[in-house]
Amino acid sequence: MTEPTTVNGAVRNEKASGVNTQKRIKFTFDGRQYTGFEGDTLASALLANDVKLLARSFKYHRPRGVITAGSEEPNAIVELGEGACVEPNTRATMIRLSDGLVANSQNRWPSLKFDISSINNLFSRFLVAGFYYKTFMWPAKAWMFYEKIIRKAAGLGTATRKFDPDRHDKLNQFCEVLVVGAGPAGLSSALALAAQGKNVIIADEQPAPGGMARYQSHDKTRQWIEEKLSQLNALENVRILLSTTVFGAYDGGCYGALEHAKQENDYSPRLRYHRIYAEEAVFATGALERPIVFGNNDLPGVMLAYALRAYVNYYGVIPGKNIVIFTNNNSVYDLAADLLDLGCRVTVIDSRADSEPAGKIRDSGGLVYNNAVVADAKGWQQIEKVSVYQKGLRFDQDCDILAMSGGWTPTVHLQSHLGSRPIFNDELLTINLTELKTETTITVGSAAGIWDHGDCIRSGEMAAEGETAQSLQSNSNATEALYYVSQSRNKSLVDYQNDVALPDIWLAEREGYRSVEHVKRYTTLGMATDQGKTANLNALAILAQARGCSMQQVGTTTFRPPYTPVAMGAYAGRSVGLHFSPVRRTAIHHWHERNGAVMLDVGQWKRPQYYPLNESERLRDAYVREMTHVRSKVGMVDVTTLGKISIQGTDAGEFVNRVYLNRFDTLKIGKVRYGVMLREDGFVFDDGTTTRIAENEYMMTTTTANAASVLLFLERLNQVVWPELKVHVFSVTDQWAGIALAGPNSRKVLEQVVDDADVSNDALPFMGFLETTICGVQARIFRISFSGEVAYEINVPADYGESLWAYLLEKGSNFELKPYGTESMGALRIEKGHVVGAELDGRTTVQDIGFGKMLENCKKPIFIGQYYSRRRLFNDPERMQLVGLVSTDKTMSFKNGSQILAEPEITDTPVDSLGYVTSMTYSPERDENIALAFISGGLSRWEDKIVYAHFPLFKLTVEAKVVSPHFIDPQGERLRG
Amino acid sequence: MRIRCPYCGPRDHSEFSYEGDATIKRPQNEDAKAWHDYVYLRANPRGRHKELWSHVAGCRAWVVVERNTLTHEIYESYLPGDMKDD
Repeated sequence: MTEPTTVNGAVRNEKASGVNTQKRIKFTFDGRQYTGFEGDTLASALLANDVKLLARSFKYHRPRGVITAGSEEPNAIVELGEGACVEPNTRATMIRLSDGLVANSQNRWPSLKFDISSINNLFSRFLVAGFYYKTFMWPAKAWMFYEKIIRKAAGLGTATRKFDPDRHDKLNQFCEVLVVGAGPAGLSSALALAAQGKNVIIADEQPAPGGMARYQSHDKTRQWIEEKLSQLNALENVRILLSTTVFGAYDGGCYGALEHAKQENDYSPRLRYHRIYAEEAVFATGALERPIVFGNNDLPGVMLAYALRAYVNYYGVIPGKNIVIFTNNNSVYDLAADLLDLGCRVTVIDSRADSEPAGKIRDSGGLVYNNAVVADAKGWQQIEKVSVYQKGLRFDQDCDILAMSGGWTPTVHLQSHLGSRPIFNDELLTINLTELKTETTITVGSAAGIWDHGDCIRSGEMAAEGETAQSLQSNSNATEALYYVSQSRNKSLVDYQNDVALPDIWLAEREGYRSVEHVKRYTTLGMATDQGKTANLNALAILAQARGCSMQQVGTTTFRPPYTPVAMGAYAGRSVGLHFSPVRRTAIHHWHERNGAVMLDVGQWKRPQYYPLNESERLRDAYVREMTHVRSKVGMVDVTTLGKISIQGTDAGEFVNRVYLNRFDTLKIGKVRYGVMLREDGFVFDDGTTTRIAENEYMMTTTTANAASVLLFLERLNQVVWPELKVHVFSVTDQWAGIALAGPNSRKVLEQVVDDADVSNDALPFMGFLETTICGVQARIFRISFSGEVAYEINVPADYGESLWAYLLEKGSNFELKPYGTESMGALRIEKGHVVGAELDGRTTVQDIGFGKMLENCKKPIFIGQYYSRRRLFNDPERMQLVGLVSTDKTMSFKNGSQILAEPEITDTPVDSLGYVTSMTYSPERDENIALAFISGGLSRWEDKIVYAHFPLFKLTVEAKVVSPHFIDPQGERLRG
Repeated sequence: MRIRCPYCGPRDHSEFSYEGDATIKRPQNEDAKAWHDYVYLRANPRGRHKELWSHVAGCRAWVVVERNTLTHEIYESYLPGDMKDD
């Protein structure tokens, strides 16, 4: 017999292998400071400090303590950390103690010991399954009110709204074999595989290998684990991932694993998400011990037998001196012996008529009652005694800890993720896989229904040879089919975390919820954060008994990833904040920033929206000033973001011809043409200009927004639809910087910068193209206009973008050249009546935007949209067509999205809308508020008539006259000048 | 899941973009049913299926992937030009 040592009020078994009693760690729980040791979990350290009450339950606010020593813990759920680092609903059994750790209980008010909402427990007979559905059905509107109160009373922790200050990493791992679980079966399998030269990863959710074998008191077992670990550590073809839970198995040999990393410093990650690609996998995932359902089986001090064994032997915590063990199988007798060895009083309540190892316990001074069950646990906030029922007799037995074992359930979650369905096995009296081996996986050890330590090791070795260990399966613990005790009148919990009790399942069955999937959803059994790991099999047995059918007939529910909760931060990894999505900056970006431009996000791009004159100038004043300047003098705008696609090859002409509605094969070298691109369903896809640079080379521009989708579409046509055309398509958006020069003075500025090219109206007319040099740098000049003024778009290699911008400003100063932003660029194009994405929203046809002639003139045999663009209905005059709107009241401006009606008032809803406003601006040239809109019947029906643009959300109605969408220079004389 | 790109070898599926049924053929005539089927109708087969995936975050090749829609098993992948009609 070993004499326990007393440290800081905590009694520790000095044979404990899992804690380092030389290193103390201070931590805080619910504001009180405690001391534990290195290696402790929060649960073991609190138990050592005699703290048994850790939490309140979800619905009834019942007092709860630690029930397990692993990741399946349903009760000891706490809030970890403080402030922005707070992580709700973490399992105290999985939290490694670290210096200064702070944890708090949750779901209680005002305190854990005195929780007002525990009054729910008194009314719990009314709070049965389906209570909310039945009670709060009527009146329907009141649900909005009930919901708030119910949500406040129920539920567990609260997530923080603050930014997560921790770092998390994501990494890909590759191996030939992934071994999940580092217990006896996993270790032996990994070693045998490594000996064959296989590249192996072995992962275990615990920080130390050994699985359940760690919790044994035998020195030989502990030595075996140490030996295997050091052998594995010495091998170069083995990687050991500890504190790493393989939480999901996915297609093609991909496994998701979450590592709780050791944080060495402020920069090291807290969580690591491993995506492991493995050709094969060995599942050595072990088994979970089941509770037995009896009265008050959730009282703090009631725990699973294996967990007590872990606390006593591994963490060295002896949480009580007077211990009752309630079992239906042999697996608890080693624990009984260990406890007797430590000087505890031990009483075993065994449901079976006789139990072979009982004699040894009796010989060592323990008590064993056969044919007996624990009907109820009794005590106030923690266990004080149990009520035992034996052969019709009832007696009370004092105790401070009750350990229970209802048998073991193999952990087959990962196999289920891959499509295997476990079924109940009548001989093993537990669920089991029908096939232990699939093409790429094999299941070994307790996960395969093998219980003996030596057999588990053997099955791991067999797996390395590709053999299954079906022959080693047996009910070697002599488990009896006892799942619940019927002699209790107290609450008997089946699912601890969701507060689902025995009568809830009976009620569900009586109300007709017969399918196990329905019972699960109606009672919420197995739907808490623990996914019912300790509850599911007992629930199936209770349902089977209630329905009077076999366990196989009841079936099982489906396990889905993740096995244990995964923080969102782990999936996000480093892709948070600025790293969430790439930022695209043009080559001129830094100039914009230095010169005070207000930047706007356009997809991933940053674009200058406007350049305020001073701090007080607002957007509206700035864009009006900028566009007035363009119309009277000259301005320049960064258009680098437009999509640029190079199309090259001997069939480039034919290819471009097929892509656009209008002809491009006839386009002369050195000329630009505006093109409209359709989809195969006949609607407009995108527009832009395309230039014939050389005989076999075209350069296409797309809208900024559609650059990626047009490229993908062209690639499809090139590689899949018309592979016979000799052409190659690729994006050159990033290779060229683009600057548009617009306004009456633009040619004068251009003349100043080109090295020695003739840019006169004759040499470079509207829709002309010139390849030349500026300061010796290659420059492509396109005579195109988005604003309606004389304009040029200059492309130079991207690296020269900012130099060109600065050079233009310098040379253009005599002509008052000024930069303008996207806001004035957009306003200029609205005045001109050009369409963009707001108009080309996928519902518009060429007829709708006034390009019907383009289609009528099209005689090409093959082009995208060739069949459906000729639908009869596209010519229906009732279709909404592009028009301009002018506000009759100069002080009233439009709102995008306004619905157009013929009447000023909406008297009755719903009303049929005539159309809607797509783009609006103030036009300085006309000194009017204008808008582009689609209206049924178009200009031919509505020209000069009055309509009303309604925006009911803001109670806004604007009286408007319908006009041509070309508000300025409808003949295009300016841009040709 | 990983997809084998004929140019780049096996790559993570997140580098690819799913682009639908690989077996549809653009009609060579003005047949209404053929065009309707090409533009609007897609089979939703259970089992082996030929799909188009574009290696958008890689070499930008379009790849035909033969995949089982039930088990997600990938049998083979090749360039569209190498596809044989069933």
